[in-house]
Amino acid sequence: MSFIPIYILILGFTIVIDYYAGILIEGAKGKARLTYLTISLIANIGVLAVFKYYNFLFENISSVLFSFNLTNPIPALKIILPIGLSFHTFQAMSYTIEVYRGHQKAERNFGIYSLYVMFYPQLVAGPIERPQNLIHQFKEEHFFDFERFKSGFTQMAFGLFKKVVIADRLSMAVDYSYANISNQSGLSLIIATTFYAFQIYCDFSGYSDMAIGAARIMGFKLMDNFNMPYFSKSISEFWQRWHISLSTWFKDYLYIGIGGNRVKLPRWIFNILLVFTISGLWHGANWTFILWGAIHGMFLIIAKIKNSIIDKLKLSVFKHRYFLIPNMLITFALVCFAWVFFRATSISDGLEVIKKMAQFSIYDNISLYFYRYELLFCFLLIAFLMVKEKLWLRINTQKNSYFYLINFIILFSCYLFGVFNQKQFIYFQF
Amino acid sequence: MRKFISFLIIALCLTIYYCSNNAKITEQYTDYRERRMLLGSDKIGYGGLYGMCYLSDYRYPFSYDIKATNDTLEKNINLYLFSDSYLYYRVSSKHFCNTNKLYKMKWFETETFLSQEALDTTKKNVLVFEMTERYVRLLLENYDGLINMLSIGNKAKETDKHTEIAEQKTIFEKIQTPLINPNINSNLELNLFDYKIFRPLKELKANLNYYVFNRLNEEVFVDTAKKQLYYKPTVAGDQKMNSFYPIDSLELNNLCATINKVHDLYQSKGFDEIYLAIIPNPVTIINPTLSNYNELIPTIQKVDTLRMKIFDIYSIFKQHPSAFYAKSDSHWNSAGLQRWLDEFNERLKVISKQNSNNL
Repeated sequence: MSFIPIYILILGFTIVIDYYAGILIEGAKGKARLTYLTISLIANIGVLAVFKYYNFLFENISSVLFSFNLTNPIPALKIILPIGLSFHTFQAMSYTIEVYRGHQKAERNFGIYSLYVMFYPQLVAGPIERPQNLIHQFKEEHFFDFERFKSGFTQMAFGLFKKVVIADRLSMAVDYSYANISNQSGLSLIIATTFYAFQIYCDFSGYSDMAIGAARIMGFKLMDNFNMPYFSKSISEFWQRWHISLSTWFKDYLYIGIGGNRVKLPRWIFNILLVFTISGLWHGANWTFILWGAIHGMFLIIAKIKNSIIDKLKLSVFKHRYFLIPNMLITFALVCFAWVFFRATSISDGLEVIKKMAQFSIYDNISLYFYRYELLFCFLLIAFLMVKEKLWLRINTQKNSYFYLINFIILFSCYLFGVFNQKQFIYFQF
Repeated sequence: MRKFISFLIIALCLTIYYCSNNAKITEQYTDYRERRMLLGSDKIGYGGLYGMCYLSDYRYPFSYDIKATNDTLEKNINLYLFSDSYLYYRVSSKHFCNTNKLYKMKWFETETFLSQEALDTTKKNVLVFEMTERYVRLLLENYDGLINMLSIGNKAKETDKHTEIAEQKTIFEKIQTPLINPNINSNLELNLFDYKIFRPLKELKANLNYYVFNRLNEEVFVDTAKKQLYYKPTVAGDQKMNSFYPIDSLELNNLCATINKVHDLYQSKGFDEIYLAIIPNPVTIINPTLSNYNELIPTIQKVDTLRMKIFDIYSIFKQHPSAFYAKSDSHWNSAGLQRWLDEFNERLKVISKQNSNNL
């Protein structure tokens, strides 16, 4: 993953293809519409396949051939994944699909269409917008509005806080323990994995907050990307709250397209596994991501079977509010279990982490490259985040004095407690 | 009014971007700020190590104040000095006795080159290899590499064409480089935040990180007993810069062999006197019992088969361990530099006298 200016040409290529594809789809009738859509999708997925998946495929084919003492005749490509490629490719695809479905008029203004794909706050890591939500906003006149500025700025400031204060501090323990798995105790790995859950959440939702806040200051409304995902009471609820723009993308354009849940159980199981495996693959060209997606798919399948048993046996006691917190904790534990494979560099590393975690003892040594006060501080940060999100999701900045005070505190905390180790956003690599 | 303010903000941002993107402007601006009051730099004035960690307990004023010799002695020595930051930036010909010309060369850089000019045989040609203890093992471990570095000026001249080819850039790189300087982040940090006015905030953060979280800049080591900062690679870790990283006889023999080969090479080129001057790491002098000192300097200096002359400052510094090093910098202080110059000038006087007698 890298920012290489020449790669703007790739973006230019897909923009030109999709711009004309949109116009042609709208003007065509019958099978021609599908043909133009297919061309557009092939172009977009083709770019993604070459830059993101070619070398992955090459490595896997090579290793299979190697086991038969054969060498791969096809060479590997010396290319680097352009920053944010998966995001803007998916946003571009949603445009042609929506035009094909008749939900969106083809955009005639090339500048506005280009802006839709390249709108800078969300270009590199989303939220992955829909044309119906964004394109019309580019045609409206936007005036400076101080109230909007205040709320956008505050959201950006808190996004920065999540990134530099929480995510980057937690990452020090996570990186250390996942780089030395064999020397880590089970308890250390459990803590590190829990930290990773919050690291990736603060890292990604922090970026989304900054993108949404920056857009709001300029007068644009982007879709929400997160909604307190770790308060979910089930895995399916988690996916309604985590990376909403991607999960709805897959739901709208893939899951429903292949039948969704209006099919027989075996086909539904296949649909779920397919969607989540592709979702995993979207994140990165590595088996760990594919397994992460498949695990979430499996969780959903098991949950569906469990729910149908509960319904059949009329065990309504499990739906009692006393089960809210246990359900949240179980969901969080399952999500963390899957994060292990998302974070590990290989499946064998992931399995080793799971094995060690299963053998944990409360008397285990905790060696996370943290002094005890810093460890305590990390737990306090997580507690603060959870309380803040639960009780105070949107920071109220109507009073000017309140706005200045709150932002001073947030930004000063960013400076004082922030970890400035030039760490990239995790999702930039996707 | 609103448009005017907008214009002003845009102009300010563009100016900051332009200045931070331009290495030369940033450098000149940093030099200009070095001794200003509130707008002055807080990274340099209290020692490099303080400027890396900002621990308030280790903020000591730091600057060099050394005397010129002002000698009226006969100028019959041409002094060739291979040096590092301990000497290179601090000395000029006025600091050396009997010196007609001073040729300075810096390790790892090719600003000037030793043998491009023919030696002036009417003068005594003295060549000094000054190196800090932390670089001794790295510089002397490979004779070919060292010779390549010593003669890099010549090589560069011979292979100009290749250098040009290697530096050829694509059109996109040509566009990109002036637009986005690779050091723009650090330049922005210098230009926007390297001011004494921000010092209390930086110290607050540093103290919080160190005293509460036990976290410190990764290149700084705190010797709480001696209230001293050290450059961490000289104190800890598996590196040859470390004063406590053991040395075996095989490596020692190899180092000595390199020293002898270098001596023979430059003696054959006509140098009259060739010296090796190893400046000890601060921890070697101040707190050698922090761990087990590897005795690198005394061991090399004791080897009786060395043909290169040794200029020994180690024994002199050992007599007053706390006098010669800055507490918040990885270098010596004015007293250390002055002492080295005084001792070396005595040596130059002897050489000069010998030369006069011979003539």
